[in-house]
Amino acid sequence: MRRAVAMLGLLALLLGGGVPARAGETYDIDQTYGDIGFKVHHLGLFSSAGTFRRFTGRITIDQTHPENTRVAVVIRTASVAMDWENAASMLRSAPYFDVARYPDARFTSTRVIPRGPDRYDVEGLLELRGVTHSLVLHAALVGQRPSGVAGQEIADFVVTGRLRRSMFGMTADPAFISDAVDLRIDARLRLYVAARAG
Amino acid sequence: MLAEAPAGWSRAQRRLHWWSAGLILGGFAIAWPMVALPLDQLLAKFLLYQAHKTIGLTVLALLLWRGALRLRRGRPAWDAGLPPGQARLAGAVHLALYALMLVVPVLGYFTAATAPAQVPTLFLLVIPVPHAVGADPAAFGVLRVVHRALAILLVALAAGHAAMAVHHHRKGLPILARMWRATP
Repeated sequence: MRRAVAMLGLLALLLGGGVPARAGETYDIDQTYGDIGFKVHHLGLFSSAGTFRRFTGRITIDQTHPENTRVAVVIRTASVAMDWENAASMLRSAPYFDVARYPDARFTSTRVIPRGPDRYDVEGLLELRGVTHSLVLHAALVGQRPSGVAGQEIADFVVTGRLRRSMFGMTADPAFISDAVDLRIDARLRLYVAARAG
Repeated sequence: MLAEAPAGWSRAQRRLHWWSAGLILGGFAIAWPMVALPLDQLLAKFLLYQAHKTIGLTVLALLLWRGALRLRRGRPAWDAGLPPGQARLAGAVHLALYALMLVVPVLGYFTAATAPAQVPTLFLLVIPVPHAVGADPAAFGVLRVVHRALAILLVALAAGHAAMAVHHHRKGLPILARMWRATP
């Protein structure tokens, strides 16, 4: 019940409803708990996953025009990590993320569309290897609780999406590494909310 | 085991011997390019690894089959023309070969299981073989070295075993012939 109330609180926050949150508030995505993960598939037999260790993210919530809620994330491509370091080194090389030439990848939202009480579609532009394409991410609020600081709550989102790496010029080894890359981003926001009445 | 030694190796024993020999040589031969292939040839590397793993698991299965036959049926008596000292040495080498055919695939399995690159083991490329343990870089570092060293020892002993068989064949002893075809 408390969770449901909290979710309603966030929805209200995003939609500019009754919860008194500050207008146009900007939040940093908490990197300590956040995780930008990706997964590729091999011959339909198994998959490999990796993460980016370093990124910065910012979300600006526009209460009066929720569709104008903005998300901007900058990923340090050199921070790519996999269980097997040789694979991570391969991903830093020129045929893949080419981190020497393209140290950053960027996602900038263009529109946020509420799709349910705890789900949002985030439309935006992804810049990767110097190429920019549109990308739709699906965000779901999976948990919200008080942070321990008065007037602040922690909201955890799971964001998923899928892109085709070839669209960004990353065409190496198509026989073994799937073109489709599944994204899974765990993001944590510290939201400012007024003390709940109950 | 039978009280009396059989006259010769059974057809199954002969076939299993040669299949094991061929698979061990093949698995050994592809091990080197499999490791050396760079990561920009991932598909070829992956296929070679799966072939190598399939061969290793097959050698292990054939060994168990051979062990069962050997226990049930026994082996033909040593050739009368073979000096007793050489027979004892041959017996020791055979025992070592059996032991290595057991240990090398088992170590190979654990090498694959503990590898930092968590690639599944797919028998014949389609049947997943679960890994009993997970990635463990320290164990992997030891296992891969021991697996390789014992595999080299296995192939070296097999080569010595084959050289002696050819040597005795040229001296007229039917040791190689009775492994090649049925003893009349």
